[in-house]
Amino acid sequence: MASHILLALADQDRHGYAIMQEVAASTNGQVQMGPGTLYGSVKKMLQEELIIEVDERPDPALDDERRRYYRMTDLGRRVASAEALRLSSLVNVAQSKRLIGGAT
Amino acid sequence: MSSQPPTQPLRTSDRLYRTLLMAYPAKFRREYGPLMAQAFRDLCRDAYHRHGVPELLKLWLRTLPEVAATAAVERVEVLLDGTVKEPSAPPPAIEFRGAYKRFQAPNGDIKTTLRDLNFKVEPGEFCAVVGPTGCGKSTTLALIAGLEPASLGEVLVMGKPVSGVGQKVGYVFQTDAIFPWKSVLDNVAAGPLFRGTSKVDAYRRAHDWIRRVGLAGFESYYPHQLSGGM
Repeated sequence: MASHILLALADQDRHGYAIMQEVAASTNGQVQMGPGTLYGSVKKMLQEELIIEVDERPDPALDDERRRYYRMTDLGRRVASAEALRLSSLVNVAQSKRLIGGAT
Repeated sequence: MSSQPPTQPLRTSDRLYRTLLMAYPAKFRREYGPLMAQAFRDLCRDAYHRHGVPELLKLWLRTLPEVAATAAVERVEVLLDGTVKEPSAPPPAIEFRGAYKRFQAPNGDIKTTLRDLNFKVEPGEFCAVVGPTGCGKSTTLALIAGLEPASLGEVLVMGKPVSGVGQKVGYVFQTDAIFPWKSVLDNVAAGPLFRGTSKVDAYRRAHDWIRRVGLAGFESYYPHQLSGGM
């Protein structure tokens, strides 16, 4: 879950519902995170300093002030990159063994 | 966000979810409850306005197990928080705190053998005390074994002040300490007997240990009848 949330925050700060939407959209609806899962992960990621809460509002006009926005920290970015590299090397192995198509 | 006013199903759904939030521990609920309720309200609104009540019901079917599972995780965490937060480190196996040992020499002089001795030996640590003759090595060991009290300061074994000879300390004498008038069996059983072990038990254990060190058959021999190696 943490990597999905980090990926959702990679391009911009988001609030909880926006994170859930982004995760659902980027996985074609395969990962549908509920609020309990999301905020349980958010709590841990705040403690681990992978993300922080931010006060800035990307779009004040459209915003509900009760929302909290989250931003990926430098540490979070490094963790997400490391995870992405790990996964991409797995993909390379899968391709070289012809489990999936793509450049070998 | 949609500006349509919430309809009855959405209002009911919202109220139900707020009740469900009671499953989470209070601290988590205070911190994230409103955010979770809002996120869930948004999810419901999307589902309802796109596909109506069936989609809303589907969302609820997904949500119930999610609430059960995540609330359980949060509750277990609260439980663990209280119990395993800070495992207290075990006390040192041996600790000297400002220990002094003074003796009165035969000529009446006061001799200070240990002066403000401070050190710790952790459980499982292997420790050797090295130094020239007369520097206080044996006195240090005697204080740990409880053979002598410290004149000043504290000596602790397993976190407790040493008060006399305890059960936890083993002691190997500098020179062999054998009763020449007792047989092998009586010599081996002597220690446990002095400690108050019953005769039956002491002799049973003595037989066992004699066998283990390869002296079986020599139980009734006296020390002078054995060779040095035995």
